[in-house]
Amino acid sequence: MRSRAGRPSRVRVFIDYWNFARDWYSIHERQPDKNMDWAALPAAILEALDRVPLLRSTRKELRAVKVYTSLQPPKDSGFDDLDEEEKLGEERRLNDWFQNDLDQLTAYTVDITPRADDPLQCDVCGHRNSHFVEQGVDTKIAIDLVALASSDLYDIAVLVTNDSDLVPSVQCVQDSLDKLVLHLGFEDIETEVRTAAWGHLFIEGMFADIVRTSERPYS
Amino acid sequence: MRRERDDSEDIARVRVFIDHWEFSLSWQIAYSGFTRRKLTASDLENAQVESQKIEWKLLPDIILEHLDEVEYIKDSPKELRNVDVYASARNSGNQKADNDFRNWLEKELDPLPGFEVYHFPRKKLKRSVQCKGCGASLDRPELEKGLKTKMACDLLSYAVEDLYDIGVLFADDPELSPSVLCVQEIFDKKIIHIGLKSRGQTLRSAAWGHVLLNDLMKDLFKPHDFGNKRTRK
Repeated sequence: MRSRAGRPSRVRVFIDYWNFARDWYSIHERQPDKNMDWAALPAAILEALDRVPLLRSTRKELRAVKVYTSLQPPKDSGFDDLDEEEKLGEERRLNDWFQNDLDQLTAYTVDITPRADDPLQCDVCGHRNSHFVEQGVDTKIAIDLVALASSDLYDIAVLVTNDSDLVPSVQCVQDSLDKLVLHLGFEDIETEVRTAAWGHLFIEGMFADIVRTSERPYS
Repeated sequence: MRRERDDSEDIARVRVFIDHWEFSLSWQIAYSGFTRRKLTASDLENAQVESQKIEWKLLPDIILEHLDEVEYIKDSPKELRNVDVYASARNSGNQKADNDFRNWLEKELDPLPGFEVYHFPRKKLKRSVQCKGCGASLDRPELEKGLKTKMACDLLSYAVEDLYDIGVLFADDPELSPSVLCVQEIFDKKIIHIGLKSRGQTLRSAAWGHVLLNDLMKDLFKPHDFGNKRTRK
């Protein structure tokens, strides 16, 4: 990481929402009322960065938290079992939460990718089953990681995803553009992104600050 | 190969990015049009194996020739730097054909001058889906893992390092549009899309220019496949 002559290191956070939410649900399966306090997350990340040995002495400044998502909840959320009208209602509720709650938190931007239909035809009865897939979220993160680094708009990237598709972009910004990438994830979930990244943070260490007890929406 | 950019008469460096599956599929569709043979579902399934019929070693010259017909860049001297092929071999059910295809990628396509083949494993999703009509378990297609992000990352990172001036893109997936727009707007590169008129419209609109694949087809057959193949100069 290039020295910025006494100026603070600029931190950007990149979150693959459903990738993270899936892990969150699986970890908190037995406590469904345990929710994420999204407003508290940026401060918790900055504090955690201050505990990383080689970054302790550097001042840090949060520039942005970008959340990449689609309106496609994970398969095990029961979304696929809903009828079309219920799906539309659920999508509206999600869209409303992403745009009117999450996006309006300080420093947050939510990038919503429309879901794409990739129908599956049944070999037995010929029925054409709707099958929605999340497309393009990983490429958007890859592009932003590289493009923002090439414009020198951050020094430290905190990457919240376990998607190994992002390994080439992580290597690119670290090796060619001299940026630091830290993976943020659950300790028990192993991922190639953590291995490729310069450093890592465990979210369990932030639970005291970011877990709140409330009725569980998709948050 | 990096070079200083202060010479106004620079040669335009061309780098080609090919999504192997999408190019093979488009080629198969165009090929059936040329041979007037009705395309079947199995033809499309076999597109990756059939792609061995393409005259890959002529592709760089053919691309450069056709770039010379694109308005505004036709007069600039051009030099091909690399052809990056992003492949993800499908399991067709015929193991021998699949193995032969992987060998062909590794031992014939990759060693061609200027070619670099990146191979990505396919992943079967674990969660099963049931048919809403009869309840049978549906066979979900295998997904290519990491191919699109690698392409997007390479388009961008080679532009960041100023390793090309013109990017030629054989792909149809709209997922790549943001990277195309980014390298054009931020890094001042030109992306030329090559594909069928009926496919890849979003990417073609995002790209600075385009060449239709049908215009290249007559040069891309092996002689035994297409009797009227033109003799290359």
